Amino acid sequence: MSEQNGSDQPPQPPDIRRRLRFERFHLVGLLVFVAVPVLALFGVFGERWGRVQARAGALELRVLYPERYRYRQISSVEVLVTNTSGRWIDTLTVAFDTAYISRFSNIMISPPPVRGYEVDLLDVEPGGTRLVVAEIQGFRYWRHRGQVTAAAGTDTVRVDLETLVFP
Amino acid sequence: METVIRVAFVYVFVLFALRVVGKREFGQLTPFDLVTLLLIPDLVTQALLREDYSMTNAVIALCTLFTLVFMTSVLTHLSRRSQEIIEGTPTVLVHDGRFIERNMNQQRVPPEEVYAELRKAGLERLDEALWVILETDGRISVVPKRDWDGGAAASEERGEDRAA
Repeated sequence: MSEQNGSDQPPQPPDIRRRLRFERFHLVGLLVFVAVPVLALFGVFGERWGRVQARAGALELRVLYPERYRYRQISSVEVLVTNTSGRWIDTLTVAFDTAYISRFSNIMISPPPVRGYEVDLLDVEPGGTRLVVAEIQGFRYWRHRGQVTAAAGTDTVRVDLETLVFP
Repeated sequence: METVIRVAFVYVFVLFALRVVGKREFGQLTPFDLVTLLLIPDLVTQALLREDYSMTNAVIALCTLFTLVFMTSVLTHLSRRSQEIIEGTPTVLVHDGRFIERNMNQQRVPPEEVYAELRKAGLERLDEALWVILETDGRISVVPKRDWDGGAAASEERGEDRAA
């Protein structure tokens, strides 16, 4: 009771031995409710980046991509391709797998693609590195797999990507 | 992670603000009812309209809110002191037929409202009430005096008064 102005108190309820009791179903539900924010605090449902790289012939390919992010969030696949040879490469083509990239929306590739999701990089100097960025927005849920390929002449290098889009 | 922190902050802030505002503003709801009912539609709306449109974000926000509600109920159940702090305590407005003016002023309850509650309880006069208590959910409880016989005594008394 709130502090009184010298008046008596109405009868107070007797106390009980206070402790927690749950039914099994209730407990399981509560654990699920508690688990979700705890996992979220540890970043389980947040954006996570993956990094893959491969090397073949005169090319080295490094890709930084979203391993998981959420529906309608915007992210990007960053492709770094390096000419590891001692000669110039006239045309180096970086291609995004259609099966992968078409699962996203509002796709913007820089430099602009020349065919579908293929970008031509011209006159790559020895030891030179070029960047191709594909901005993608989560559109379809769950896992999307595909490849990024870099090709120059007879040299081809590819890496596998896998992105999970949370609903 | 940001969602969890945001929900936790808003929950604690709104709960604190409602405790500060006082019991009279709650009407028929407990503070927990009100906080929960305020936040649930807002969270769902935010999930639909804010930058993060994902259901994942909405589910995280709702689970965070339910977890906080659950933790609050655990705390108030296990600790009487916590219960008093979080839910507040009932306030005596009338004892033994007399207003407790200090409490009425603190809780901003006018005498007219007390009389309205007396009438709802079938009482006519203040001296027929042993206790009038503002409960933690904002409702007012009226406890008649033990020797009050449901109005007959009061009628007789009025008759005597008129006879006198």
